[in-house]
Amino acid sequence: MILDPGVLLQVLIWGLVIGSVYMLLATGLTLIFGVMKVINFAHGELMMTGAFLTFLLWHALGLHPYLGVFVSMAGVGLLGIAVERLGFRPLRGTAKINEIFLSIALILILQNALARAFIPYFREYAQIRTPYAHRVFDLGLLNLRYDFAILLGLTWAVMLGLYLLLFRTEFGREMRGTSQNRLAAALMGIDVGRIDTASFGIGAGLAALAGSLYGIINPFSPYSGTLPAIKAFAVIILGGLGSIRGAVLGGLLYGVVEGFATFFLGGAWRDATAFILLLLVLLVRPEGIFRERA
Amino acid sequence: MAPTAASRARRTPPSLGIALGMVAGAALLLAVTRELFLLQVLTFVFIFAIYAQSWNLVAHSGQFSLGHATFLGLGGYASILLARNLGLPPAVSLFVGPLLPALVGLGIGRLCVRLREWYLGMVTFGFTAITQLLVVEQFGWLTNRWDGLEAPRLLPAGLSVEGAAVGNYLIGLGLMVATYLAVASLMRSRTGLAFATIHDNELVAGVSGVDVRRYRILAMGAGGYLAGLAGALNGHTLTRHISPGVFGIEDSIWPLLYSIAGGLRTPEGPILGTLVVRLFWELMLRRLGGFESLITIVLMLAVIVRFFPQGLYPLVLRGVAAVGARPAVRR
Repeated sequence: MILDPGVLLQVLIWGLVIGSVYMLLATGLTLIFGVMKVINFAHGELMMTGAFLTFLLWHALGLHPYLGVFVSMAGVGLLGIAVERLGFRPLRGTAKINEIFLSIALILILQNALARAFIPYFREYAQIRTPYAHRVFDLGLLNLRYDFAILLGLTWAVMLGLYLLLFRTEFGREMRGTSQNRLAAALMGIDVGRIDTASFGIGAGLAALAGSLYGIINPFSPYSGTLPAIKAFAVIILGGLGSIRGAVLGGLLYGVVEGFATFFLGGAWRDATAFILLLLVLLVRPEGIFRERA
Repeated sequence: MAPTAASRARRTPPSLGIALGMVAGAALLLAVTRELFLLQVLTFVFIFAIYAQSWNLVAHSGQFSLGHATFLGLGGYASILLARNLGLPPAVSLFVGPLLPALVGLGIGRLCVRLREWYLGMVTFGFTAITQLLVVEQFGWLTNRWDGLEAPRLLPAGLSVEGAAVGNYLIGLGLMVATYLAVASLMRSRTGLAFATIHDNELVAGVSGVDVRRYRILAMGAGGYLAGLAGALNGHTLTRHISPGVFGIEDSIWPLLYSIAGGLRTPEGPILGTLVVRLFWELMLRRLGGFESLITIVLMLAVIVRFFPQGLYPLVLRGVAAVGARPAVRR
């Protein structure tokens, strides 16, 4: 019964869906780190800002969640741009502790701003309900929820877009160049400041998508972003800081491992198992499975 | 240009004098007022100054811990469990309990010995979440899961409310001053110099014969003990209860904010920072809600970081020097 292929496939799909959340977060984080050499600790909070925006657009204006996602991505993207321009830009070149402080301070600012707007109206948890909440594709072996199919499609469409941007455009080339060697890129006439802004905006936008996705499959609160963000940290350490390939594969892998661990070992181990994986990697191979691309 | 370790050691005023000043100030306040709320706020300041001191000591060795709540919470749990389940008097468990976070600190230090800056930040950040999971799920039979545990009181039962408040105040003060003296002398010792050298440049430290690995692990262990002591003290005196909520991000962030506000890598900074930030916080809470106050505090700190990157303590030193009552800054 437990090894029924349909059930295992179901678990796999679930793992891939939650893995998409981690993948989007990790990709954004690693993109930002690659270019700016800064870890955005408030990535989980940007994620929840995205979830909350999509939720509000749907709840208050009746906007279809799958359209609202794009508005939310744009909105949080702009927020990310503001954070880079007003926050990280002036600190560049000062002591590292200042950047760490800002990164940490943003957690408190965003979390409390969200909680201030959220808790009086929605109490503890809210969830984005799509019109397809109870509809499934019957694929014989397994029942695939409409939402899961759409979310996977949406995520991959966005990731494809990111791939095209990074590897098929001049701007993407500049971005990768800055990530590989900032000084050389600047000497080649690339406006690295503009690249910083863009990478933070894109990272924030991806976080908003991750948050909206999370908010469609789970109830969420302003504090729900912390754990997924910590897992995304684990993923980028696992995948190698700065490596997008590592973030994508690592994120999906992490989701699938978590899915199976939950299924076989029970919910109590859902979060712990994945962390144990991280500890092992830290002990054995602290530079990550994929090295940062030079 | 950051001051070198040696010049910093020479410029710091004598810590014994400062310790006496703190005790005198606190005793004076006690002589003037017995206002319960004020005493409680200050007891909180004393306890969390120990906590910030611990974070600052670890930072002094070049390691920025973003998961310090792990130690705070484990110290509290260990001491409370020792007192509840083994019947140890809280006055003893208070000092035995923190050995658990000290051990965990040694473990984390060992595990992260090759990690720096952002890497270290991310991993320590994650440890809080892992510890919370372990405490709630895997050790739920011992820790009563999310409901947490009642903590036995440190002071003998039967004291008046005022007597208990004064007692907690004095115990907090005593331990804070003791911690301060210990950390100040540690920072001035060879070990402290080794920490500072590792902070300034790990490679240079290694080349000049400092056992980087050993000192980094040692700093984490010592930090674990002090943070655990603060957690245990808090549990047995102020909160009288502990729950897994202690392993939150906020509790990991506070010591960083206190230390930055007061002045990083000085033994006085964390105390000054905790006092200033906490008093400001209490004042603000009277006008604003909790969410708004927290945002305001963070923005205030951003201003401090922007305009006084060394924190408030150097300002105080300069102020004292300018008044000329006693030249505290010697070159």
